[in-house]
Amino acid sequence: MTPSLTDTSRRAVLQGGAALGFVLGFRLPAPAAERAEGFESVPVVNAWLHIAPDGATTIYVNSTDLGQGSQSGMAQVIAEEAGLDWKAVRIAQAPLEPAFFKHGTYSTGGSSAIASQWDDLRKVGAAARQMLRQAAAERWGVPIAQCEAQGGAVIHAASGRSLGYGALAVRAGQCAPPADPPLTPREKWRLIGRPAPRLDIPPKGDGRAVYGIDMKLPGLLTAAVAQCPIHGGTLQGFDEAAALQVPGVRKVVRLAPWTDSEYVNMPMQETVAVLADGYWAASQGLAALKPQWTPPAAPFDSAAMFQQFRQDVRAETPPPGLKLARAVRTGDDPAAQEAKAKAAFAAAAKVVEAEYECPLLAHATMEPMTAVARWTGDRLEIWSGSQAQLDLTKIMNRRFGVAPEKVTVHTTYAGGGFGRRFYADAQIQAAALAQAAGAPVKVVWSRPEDIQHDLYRPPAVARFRAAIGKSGAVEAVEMRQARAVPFEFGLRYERLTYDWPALVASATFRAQPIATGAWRAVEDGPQAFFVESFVDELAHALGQDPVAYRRSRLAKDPRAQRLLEVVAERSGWRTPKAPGRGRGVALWHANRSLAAQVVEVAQEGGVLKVKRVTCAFDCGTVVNPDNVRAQGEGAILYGLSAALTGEITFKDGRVQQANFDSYPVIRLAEAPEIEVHLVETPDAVIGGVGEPMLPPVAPALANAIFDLTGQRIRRLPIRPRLAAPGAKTA
Amino acid sequence: MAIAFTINGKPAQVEAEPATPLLWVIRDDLSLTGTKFGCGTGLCGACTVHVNGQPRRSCQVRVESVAGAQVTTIEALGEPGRPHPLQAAWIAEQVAQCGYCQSGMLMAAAALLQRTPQPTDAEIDAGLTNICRCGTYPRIRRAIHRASRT
Repeated sequence: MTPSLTDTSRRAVLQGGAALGFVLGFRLPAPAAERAEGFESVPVVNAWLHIAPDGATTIYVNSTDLGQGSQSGMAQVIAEEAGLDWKAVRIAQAPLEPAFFKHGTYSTGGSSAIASQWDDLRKVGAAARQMLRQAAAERWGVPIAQCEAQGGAVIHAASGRSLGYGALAVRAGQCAPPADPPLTPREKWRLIGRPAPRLDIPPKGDGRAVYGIDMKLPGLLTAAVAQCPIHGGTLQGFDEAAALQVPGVRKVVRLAPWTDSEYVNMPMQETVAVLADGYWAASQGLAALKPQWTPPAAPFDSAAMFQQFRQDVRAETPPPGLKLARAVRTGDDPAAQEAKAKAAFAAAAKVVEAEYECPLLAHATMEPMTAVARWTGDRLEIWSGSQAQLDLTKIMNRRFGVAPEKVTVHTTYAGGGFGRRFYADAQIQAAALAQAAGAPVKVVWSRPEDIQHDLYRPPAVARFRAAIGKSGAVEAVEMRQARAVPFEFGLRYERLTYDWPALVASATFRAQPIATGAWRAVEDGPQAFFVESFVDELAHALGQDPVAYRRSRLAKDPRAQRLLEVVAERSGWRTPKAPGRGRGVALWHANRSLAAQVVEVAQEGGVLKVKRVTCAFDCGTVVNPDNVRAQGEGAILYGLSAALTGEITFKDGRVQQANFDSYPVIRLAEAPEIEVHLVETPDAVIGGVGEPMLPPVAPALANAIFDLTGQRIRRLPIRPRLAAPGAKTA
Repeated sequence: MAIAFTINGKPAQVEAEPATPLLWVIRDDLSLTGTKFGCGTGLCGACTVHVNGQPRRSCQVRVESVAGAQVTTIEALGEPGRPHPLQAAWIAEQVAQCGYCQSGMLMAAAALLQRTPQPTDAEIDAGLTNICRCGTYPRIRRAIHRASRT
């Protein structure tokens, strides 16, 4: 077996479990026929930890490796509580079984792998430790209290005896799992809080790691696809004979458009695919096929959408007939806030107003969308780096009628996810093509297909106003937004902790005929840009330092105040800037964590250079400090790349970007120095890591540019060009 | 047409259209999948291999042009039990995230160290133009410096 490809079929685990001796509290899933409906979540003690007689330890994890390191982090938590030797631990993808469902599903997202399973992971490990100690105590005929477990062995100090976990595993597996095992107190942690080396890194440095695109199966055909480039258009014709003349081409298959009833934000365009012995033949066949397309009656135009959104936010009251969402800070009474805001604007000495815009963004994962499918009778197998394995079985049921339990999901390494691999479009294509071809099929999207058929980060226009009273303080803030549906996430206003006397917020939603979806940090990205840019504008309008102003308005949020202090200190906020430098700050709560960042920019030869990003981060408890820093570096660079150059536009229904030339992303030479400083709040609920360090970077950058040039950046992307100081900003 | 060359020190003979990119011969015909497909236009560097010791974006190399050449892929950057100093440095600095671009990064970095054994930051910036979407750039810099000291 390859070191990376993990089989998530149930049979493999049952067989593996039987062979390995110790499966913690494993309960056999009920036979399919006895299950109420599909994969109902059932309360089970879990099946996460296997210890072989030779001590080899496998921890099954229920998150997909997208590069975020949470598989290792989860294993680290279990290993801590179980007293495992980290060097003996290997990781395997958990099967798609209720024992591994997280809040009723099996998916990877929301920075939740550890944050939402923290207590469970600890209990898994702690129960194992207890059972292993019990097994040793029985073997030696001594009280369990005298048996200490650590480093993969149980030790009886009084007699100097010790037994490795492998020797105890079979007996331990027969012990009843304790319901409430004692957890290791923080001060005794040996692994949590330490930079344990990630277990997935070695095979990623020598070519061994297997991604979806690397899958091989007997008789496998490779498909190159052309999805209708004019969104909502239809396939008019193609030259099948020419495609079939290309050596290696086997078949041309046409796929009708389809939209899933649950994933309405993923309208799959009409598609034609060329199946061949390998990818190059398939792509040459597709070139020879020359598909022609007919545009829809009203092709989508993103510039027109933004124009409409601007009108929506500028209207005196939200336009009627649109879906309208209102949001309030936690603890606020909406009616009282509205009344206070109305009075404050009526009596305002000054009104500060600004409009902001966030464009559509593609994910542009390094591995374009890929998937492998194989039908065997009425059973379907899928190999891919999916972020949503349980949904994958359900969507296959809706699309093909195959029973969900007859869909086996194999999870490969994923060449980046960032939210994109929640969506099963490539997997659906692979299954449909495998059905049509009567052979297993691997779908590989070209880069232009990947850029032009993404589920983009939703676009938004915001218009924020603040009433400044005669006393010179902000009395009320009004936040209006115009947004697109069908895809939406919460607006996050409930997380705002600025204590302005009144805050009213609303958004209107217009249906748009485009695919939008989750993009790293989802709605926190745009919201942080809007709010933290505006807070900066308020600080300047009031003649206050941006850090000092924020701190003054965060009296109810001491964690945020402390984090701002850390980032100010570490970035040298209060020290004089070098000539030609500018600094900007931003703060954001996301995924139950907080991040504060200071970005330092310079103007070098008329070109904007991002020199340094200082980040202070508080996720409550840090499991692996080195990996949290790595996620900070990654989130900052992903967010910076988008803020600088990321923009998808539609004209005449077509996406105008296609590859890394027209959709440029940040490269090594442009990467600033990044420092991530970790601050822990042990009493706080543990927070997520993969996303929350992304949102502050765009507003901190925009605020730094203002500091340097006096120009406000209110529309993303910034593009690293700076107009002459004093010029009007877009 | 039949094309013969050396891949990772071993002779290879493939039957391919002359214009087939080396990338797809390596991946689909020779089953060496460590070399990745990222953009198909030479923009991202995920497919970087060495041809006669020089870094090449294999999606832009016609297979006919490597007839008789020495081609090295990530699978042969180090040897079993004896990783290349960059591979060791990559682990020490915990560089990889999703890992998909890393084969190309390592091959590009190895070529850089061949030319410039002790590169400055500026030389690393100029020498490594591959794309990483996970944001491993700061660690790549550190790992190259670490490897250049060994």
